[in-house]
Amino acid sequence: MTFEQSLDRLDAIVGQLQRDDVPLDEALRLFEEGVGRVREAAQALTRAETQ
Amino acid sequence: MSGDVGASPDEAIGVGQVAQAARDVVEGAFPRLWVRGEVMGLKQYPSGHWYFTLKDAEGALSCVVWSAKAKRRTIPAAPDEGMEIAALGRLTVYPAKGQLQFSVEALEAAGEGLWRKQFEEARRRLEADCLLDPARKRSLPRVPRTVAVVTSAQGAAVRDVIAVARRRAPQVQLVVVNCLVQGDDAPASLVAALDRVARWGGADVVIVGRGGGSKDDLWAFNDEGVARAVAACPVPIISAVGHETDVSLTDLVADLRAPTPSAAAEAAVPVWTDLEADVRAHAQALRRALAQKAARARQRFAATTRQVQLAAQRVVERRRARLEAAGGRLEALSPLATLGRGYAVAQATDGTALTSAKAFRDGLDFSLVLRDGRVRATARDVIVTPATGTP
Repeated sequence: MTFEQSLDRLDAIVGQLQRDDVPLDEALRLFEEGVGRVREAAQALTRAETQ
Repeated sequence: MSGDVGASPDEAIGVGQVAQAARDVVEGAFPRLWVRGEVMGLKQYPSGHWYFTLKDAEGALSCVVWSAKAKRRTIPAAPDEGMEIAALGRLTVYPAKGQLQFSVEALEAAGEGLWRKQFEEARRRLEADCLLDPARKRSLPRVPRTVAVVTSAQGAAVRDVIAVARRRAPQVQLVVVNCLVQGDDAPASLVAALDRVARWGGADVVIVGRGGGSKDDLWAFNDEGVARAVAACPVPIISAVGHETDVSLTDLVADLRAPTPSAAAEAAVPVWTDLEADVRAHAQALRRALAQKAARARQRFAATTRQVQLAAQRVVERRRARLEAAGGRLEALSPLATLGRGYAVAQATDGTALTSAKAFRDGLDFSLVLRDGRVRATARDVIVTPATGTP
């Protein structure tokens, strides 16, 4: 997944979490995925910086 | 001759005999002498013999020049009608005509007039053949390998040229082509030497000349044939006739006129150490130019690299800001944020949240997710609170 795709996915996750009707376990799953995406994107940025 | 001969009609002698006797008397009575007068009625015959009369107010004298072409050194040009000249010769009698005759060996006009005339005539002929055209002048090679010196091997000129050339550049080869530079045979000798140099073809420059001398010593360099041989030289040629003031015919047709043989050597042979210094200076300038170019290229490369780095950094920073904003929003929505306030979430082993007591059975393994970790637990005494209606 590219950096841009990670960010887009992150935005989508944030949008879903903002909705009230998300079940808690779904929210937890989304949140965990979001954290994973943030880590991925941060790593991509670090790689770009060191190049 | 006896006293009686010719004393009476009976003793009369033949015309030829008396004419020859008169010639003997005349030739015996007059030594070689200079005679002055005006030239009248000059006739030049294809045989090369000239006839004219020398006159002044009181008298006239028949003159003859035998083989005038062979006397170019003493009779440079034919005198003009009426020209006041001095003629060197012997007085004689021409028996066939019984005529007094002056056999001329040399002619001189006032102010070297005949020499000037010969020079001007030859100059005009050379000019008519375009041999004096400035466009014909070739430039000397900057660094000749071989210089031919056409002059007398015994003269001062060759010593001067050798001395100057050795001092300036011993690397340049000198070839001395020996020839006569004065006397009756000098023109033919010079022409032959120049011809030899031309046919040899090994010289890059030719110096032709001699040291200083009298007008008479230098006359060979005013010879039209010599001038034409100089003009025909296949490589650049320097004329160096040792006199500062007068110009010779060879000076006019040569590619360069040098005032002296030494000056000719200076013109033909470069100073070797100057050449070396020149080459070194050029090499240095080249290296400097190259280094400057490299330095400029490096500077430009560094500047460009810096710009690319800055641009890349800005791109990364913009994205990092965007990522941080998204990360911040995610954090704010964290369902776990509540845990910080002391709440816990019960999770089944498959990760689903257990949000109702009904989801529990006695002995069910589950996890309690807290602010700072999780606790494995087993359910006991599941008590479902009966519904009491909507709160």
